Amino acid sequence: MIRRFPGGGWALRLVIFLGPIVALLAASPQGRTPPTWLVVVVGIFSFAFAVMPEHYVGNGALAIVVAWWTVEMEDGLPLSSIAAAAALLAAHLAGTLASYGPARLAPDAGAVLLWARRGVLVWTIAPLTWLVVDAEAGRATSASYWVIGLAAGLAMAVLATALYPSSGDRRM
Amino acid sequence: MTEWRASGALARALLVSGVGLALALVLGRPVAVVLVAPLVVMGAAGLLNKPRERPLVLPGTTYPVLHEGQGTTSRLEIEPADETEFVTRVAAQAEHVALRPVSGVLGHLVDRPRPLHISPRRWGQRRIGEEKVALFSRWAGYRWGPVAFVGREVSVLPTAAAYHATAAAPQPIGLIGAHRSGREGDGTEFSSVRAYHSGDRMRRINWRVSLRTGSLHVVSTRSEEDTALLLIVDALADYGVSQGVDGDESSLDIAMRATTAIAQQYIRQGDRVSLRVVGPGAEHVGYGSGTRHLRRILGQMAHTRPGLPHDVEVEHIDFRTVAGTMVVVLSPMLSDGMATLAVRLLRRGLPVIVVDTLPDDAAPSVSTETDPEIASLAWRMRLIERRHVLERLAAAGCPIVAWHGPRTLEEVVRRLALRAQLPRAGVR
Repeated sequence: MIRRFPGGGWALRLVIFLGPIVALLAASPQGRTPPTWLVVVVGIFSFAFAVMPEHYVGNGALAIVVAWWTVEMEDGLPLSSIAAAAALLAAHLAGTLASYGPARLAPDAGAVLLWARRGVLVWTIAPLTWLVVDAEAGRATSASYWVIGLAAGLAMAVLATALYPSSGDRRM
Repeated sequence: MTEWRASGALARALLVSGVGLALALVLGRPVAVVLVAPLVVMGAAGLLNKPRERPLVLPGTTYPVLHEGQGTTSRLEIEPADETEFVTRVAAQAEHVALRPVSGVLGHLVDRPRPLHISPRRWGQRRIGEEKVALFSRWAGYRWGPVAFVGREVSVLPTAAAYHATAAAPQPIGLIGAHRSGREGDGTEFSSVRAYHSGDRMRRINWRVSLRTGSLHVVSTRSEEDTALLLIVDALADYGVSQGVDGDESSLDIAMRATTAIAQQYIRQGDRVSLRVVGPGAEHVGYGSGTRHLRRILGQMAHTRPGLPHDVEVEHIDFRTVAGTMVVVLSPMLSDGMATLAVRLLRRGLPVIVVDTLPDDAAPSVSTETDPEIASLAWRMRLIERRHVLERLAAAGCPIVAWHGPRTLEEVVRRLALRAQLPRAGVR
């Protein structure tokens, strides 16, 4: 299957494979180097994600990286988290483009450009969030995070309920 | 039909966002929010752009009839198009059908469509436009399909290089046409200078000869008539490898392209042409002329499949020929029945030409269980038998020519025409 990737397909798979690993290693400048076994695990998940971009294994690669960062960064909010967010987003977008069709599908230049523009726009949320959190760093408490998170979770649940296909839709 | 379903990308964005937000809440660490914030936006954009209507997808190709080597495009109409952002098409790979992109896989934004080019490379009935289509909503939140479309069957007509032959038919017996007749009449071809008969036209009088001889003489000409041509195609088997219009040719490829060239040539000069395929389909087109008739002949040829006739022995096929019909048998002459058939027509006094369609590198396709040496020996024996058959046919007065392009028949037909003008001794 790997041999069938067209030229642009290889580039997408490379981004998918490297994205989670780069995001994991982005904490190294802060002296938080991930253990080798974790890099290997993420590499395996990333490889599977690159080969099967439509498969749920991609969730594992990204989720492990997010979990490790959250557990590891007990105090402070390093600037490299923005770079890590960019790497994760790049892997996700490359996975989205690659999952448009079978392995033989050459990426469409128009779609790549569209998603690159969207990616840059969406990524700006990460530094904005970092700025807001950093500005509030001295005053925020755990309770306030709970409230903000709960509100966000509720909003997502409402959106999902309203927009996901319901059983009534399926009968149509 | 299928419906819009959440895509893997949406599921990933929501799941990773959920994990990040949950960890941020549980552990009280904002770094997770920074990491997943872009994915939260991606997920939300995907959800907000959920299509509300089930799409109507109509694939279609432009032409129902194509010549081999010609191309057409497969288009896709999507309604409503504004809820769809990306289209993925995976065309089925079919034998003797070339696609561009070569992989048959094509993806493009809906507002920037890219055509899927299809080109049948060999004559026959070909199914084109068979494909699977998947649609993606804006922000790739939802996917529709993939849904399979069956495509359509198109007739792919054989092609042949056009040429204009100058050789007259051996025994033209029609009413009007372009061939020099054996009879005298109102034509342009000089026949003789003879004594004036009552009824001769004044403008035919040759005054120079008349003054010299002292009696009126006229210039007589040969009338010009059309001819009837019967094309018999041997489709009992297909020998050799067919690689399409620009590759190696099988015996049936040669026969089809040769038949097309000959039919085009004779119909263009106003002759009546008939086609009879000796095969399981027994495709037959009666005598006729004109462009529409040529299309009928080519259309029937596109339906030809190799195999044995179902209902009649090859030797007993009635071709309903009339006197003066020129018969062209296109065959690899590996069947005794075809040789018998040619001799039968020859004995009826018809000019018969055999076009040998066996490719030089033809070899039988044998099963893996057969010993290759035995198969090779059997094939060599068969070729020796074929040579004897061809020699006997030639001795009986049937010219045999290998097909070398549209001008193959010209010299043979010219010789037959000369032979037809020679005086014959009748045997009682």
